[in-house]
Amino acid sequence: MAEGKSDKSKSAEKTELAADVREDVAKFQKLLGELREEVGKVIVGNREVIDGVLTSMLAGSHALLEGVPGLGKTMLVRTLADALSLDFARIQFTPDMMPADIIGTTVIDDNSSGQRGLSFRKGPIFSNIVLADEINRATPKTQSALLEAMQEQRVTVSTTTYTLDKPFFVLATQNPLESEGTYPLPEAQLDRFFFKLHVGFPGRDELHQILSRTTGTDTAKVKNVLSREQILRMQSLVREVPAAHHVQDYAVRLLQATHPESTTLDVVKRFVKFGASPRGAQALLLAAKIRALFEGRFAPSVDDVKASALPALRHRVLLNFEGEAEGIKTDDVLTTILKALPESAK
Amino acid sequence: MSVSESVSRIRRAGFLVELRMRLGRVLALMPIVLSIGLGLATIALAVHKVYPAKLSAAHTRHVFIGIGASALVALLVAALRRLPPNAGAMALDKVHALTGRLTNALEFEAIPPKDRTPLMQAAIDDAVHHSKKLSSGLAAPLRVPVEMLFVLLMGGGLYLVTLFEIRTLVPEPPKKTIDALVMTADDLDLFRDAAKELERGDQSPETKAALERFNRLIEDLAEHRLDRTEAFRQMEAIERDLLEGKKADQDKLKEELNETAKQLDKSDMAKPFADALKKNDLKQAQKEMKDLAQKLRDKKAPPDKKALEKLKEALQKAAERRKETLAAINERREELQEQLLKKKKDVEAQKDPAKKAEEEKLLHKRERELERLDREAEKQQRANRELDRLDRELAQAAADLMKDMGVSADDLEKAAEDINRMQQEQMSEKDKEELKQRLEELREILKQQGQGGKKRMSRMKSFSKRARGGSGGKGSKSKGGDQGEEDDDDSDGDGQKGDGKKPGKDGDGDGDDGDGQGKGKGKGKGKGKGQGGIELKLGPGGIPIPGQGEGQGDQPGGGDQPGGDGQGKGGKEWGNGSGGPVAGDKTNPKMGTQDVDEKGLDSGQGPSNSEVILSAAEKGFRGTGYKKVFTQYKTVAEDNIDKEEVPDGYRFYVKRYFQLIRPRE
Repeated sequence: MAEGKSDKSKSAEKTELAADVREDVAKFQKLLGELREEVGKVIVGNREVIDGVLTSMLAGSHALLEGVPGLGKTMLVRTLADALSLDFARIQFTPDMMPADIIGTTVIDDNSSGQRGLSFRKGPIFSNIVLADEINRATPKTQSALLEAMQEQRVTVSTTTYTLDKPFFVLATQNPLESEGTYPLPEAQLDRFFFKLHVGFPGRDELHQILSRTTGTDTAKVKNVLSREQILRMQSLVREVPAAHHVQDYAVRLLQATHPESTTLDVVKRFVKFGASPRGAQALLLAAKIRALFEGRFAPSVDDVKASALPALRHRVLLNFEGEAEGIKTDDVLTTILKALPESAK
Repeated sequence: MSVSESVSRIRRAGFLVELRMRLGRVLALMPIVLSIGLGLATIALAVHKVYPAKLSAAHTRHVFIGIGASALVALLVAALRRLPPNAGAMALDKVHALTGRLTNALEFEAIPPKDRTPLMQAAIDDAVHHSKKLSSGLAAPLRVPVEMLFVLLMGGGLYLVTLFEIRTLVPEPPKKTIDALVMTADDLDLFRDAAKELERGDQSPETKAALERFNRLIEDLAEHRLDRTEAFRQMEAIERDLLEGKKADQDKLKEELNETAKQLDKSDMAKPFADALKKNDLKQAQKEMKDLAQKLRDKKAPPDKKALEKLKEALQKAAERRKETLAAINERREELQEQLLKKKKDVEAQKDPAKKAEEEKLLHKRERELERLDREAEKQQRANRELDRLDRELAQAAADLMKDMGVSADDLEKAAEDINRMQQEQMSEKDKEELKQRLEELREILKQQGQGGKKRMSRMKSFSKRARGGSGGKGSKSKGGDQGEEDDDDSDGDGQKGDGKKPGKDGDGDGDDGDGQGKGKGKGKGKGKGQGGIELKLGPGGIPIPGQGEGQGDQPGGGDQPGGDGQGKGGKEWGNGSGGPVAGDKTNPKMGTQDVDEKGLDSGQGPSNSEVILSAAEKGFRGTGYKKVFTQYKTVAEDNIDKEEVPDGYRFYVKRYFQLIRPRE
């Protein structure tokens, strides 16, 4: 009898929890919709890029935006920061920039009692949202300083370690055209970006909209939509989303398919030097979960994994010399893999 | 509906979709499998039709069964091949744009409830909420592939191939034949004629049956229905039947009747009967016996008492004699047996080897004599059994004679009936002997034919044709036969073309013994010389050949036919013909050849024998002239054979020779 009651109470409790979860997901979806709407006030088009940036943020990771200058990369990050009530810092990377310029430095300072002493002055990295503009222009040393903070979410200066505030979200941009005087990010560092997003050139309608919005007197004002706590709660919810075995299996198989030694696909064997790291699979699954939540679902599907495959893997697959010589793009390789890979294991 | 029920519904829908997917696989594979199968079947059928020897109907069936089985296995494999887990649910997700809701729900539902997170439960609820209308048809549509049209066309092609008929000349399987014995038509006619000859008389039923079987045997041989083994088996069977019916030894019977006749000869009344018996003329004997019975009945001129007494005595002795004879034989046998026993003891007791050997020799002699007597006794007993009834009748007649002559006459008549019976049996026995003889000849011919081979048969056919008057085939010259039977064309002329130099000498008419063509009435007596006898030559060639010797016939050529008008000039002819050795090959005196001189009869008419023979050799064995000459020669030959002047081994050849040159109709 007691057991029966216990079962009933458990069931009721589960039902209650399920209702809460449904509510959370609905709220997640609503807030995200509002955030999109606010960003959309300023940024025309580039829905995928916006979603990618949001996904990276909700995954608690970082994004690398690649695109020619003038496509609104910086604007996008700034607008996002405006929409989120978070600290924002922009770092314009130049070749002469030093790690201290990012992390911060120790200076001699007068304290309140009039005594002089060394005090640490935090760099821009200590913001919640950091825009690392043209990251490939900084020297590898400086890049490394940033990337360590990105990975560890903490900064060590001298003997003191400073934990970065959460959420910590780095959005880096790079220009694919001007390669002179740049320092391309090494693969190990690229791997730390959750997504690599290509910012495409806007279409005709979008251009019209851009012109209309930016050449008139009216300037769109973005309001805060998400609080810091809400973002953290959303990030937490993302981690709670369950992934079915077949979805996870698809992510794993997709990752394996990028490795020339563990695939039968000719294009991979021929043009790929190294496949994606396990971080790629993590990114795939997390992105799939976020995508499911975007759409109000409680678990990701194979389609969600597929949809996340290009931004999550494109910077993690390294082409070989032949691939480079043939002008093959990683996106092409990935598209071929996606087409060839069956949704379920046989 | 509860969540779990809804999930079950989703699972069922997924299962149904999976079934349809399996069926869809079968449908998808079917055009390929059926195309290959039909193609192979068409090829197999075509090969079978074109080369039935290489691919038999049974093998084609096996190929068809193999193709069918392979196709079935391929389709079964396609249907039963493992599907990915939750493949049905995935398909439903796709078709209903549920973005994995159903698949996720099924997977989460499989997790124990206590391990399920709220989000999992929410996902299940969400799936249930979105799965109100699930269509398995849409998820796994079953469509007959367009390629099935091609399969149908191929099926049509196969049907056309089945209709297509290739007519090939199938060699008829060789019929089961026997190595039939072949006899020339001439020989067959010979035996047919012999059978007809035998059929003319009255025969006992067993003789008739044997004759029928003999006729059948001849006809079977004519139709090539018998091989050597079967022919000999049938001949043996006929012979066995003939032997079974054989009764008393005919010679012994004749001897006994002769003895009876000697006894009866002492009576004047029974003398004619006795004479007939002595001659073994049983028909006459029967008649005489009946006459005797009639005489006894004749009351007008009854026989005197003395004659009757003599008759009675003769009849009694005749009736008893045989018993006495048998008793004497048996007595002698007993005596011999006693002597034999004694001798055996003496031999055993004898110690001197020389004397012992002599005694043993004597003992063997006695034993042989005893054996002979045993045979004699057996013969006697058989003859006695045959004549027992006659004896009883004669004894009864003798007993009744002095009491009542009429009763005695009846007894004699019964005796006459017995004689008649014996006569019939004797005749039948003769026929049997004759038939046996024919069988013997037939056997011998078949034996020789088997030894001679096809060449000999060919020569025989050619000879038969020529013998009938046709032109024979080209005779092959061969060297002497192995058994003295070779008879090549060249040797045919031997002895037949000799010149009989016999100048006719007559007064008015033609004295020539052949050319009586003169006109006028011949009155004179032509004294023809030269129609010699015959020479039976059993030369190295082995074939008995009639020759013309140069014997002198001093028989007056008294032609009893008018010799013509007296104008004829006889005696001019010296015979004609030439070529060939006159007297055939030189007679080897060591060969046991015996020249026989026979006096020929010169009728004074028609062509001479030599001319007849020459003509026969050229035109065939036919015509009355030839028949006459043949009969003459054959009679002489048979007489000589009977007199044992021809060695046993050659008798067949002599007979065979005369069979071959017999006149044809």
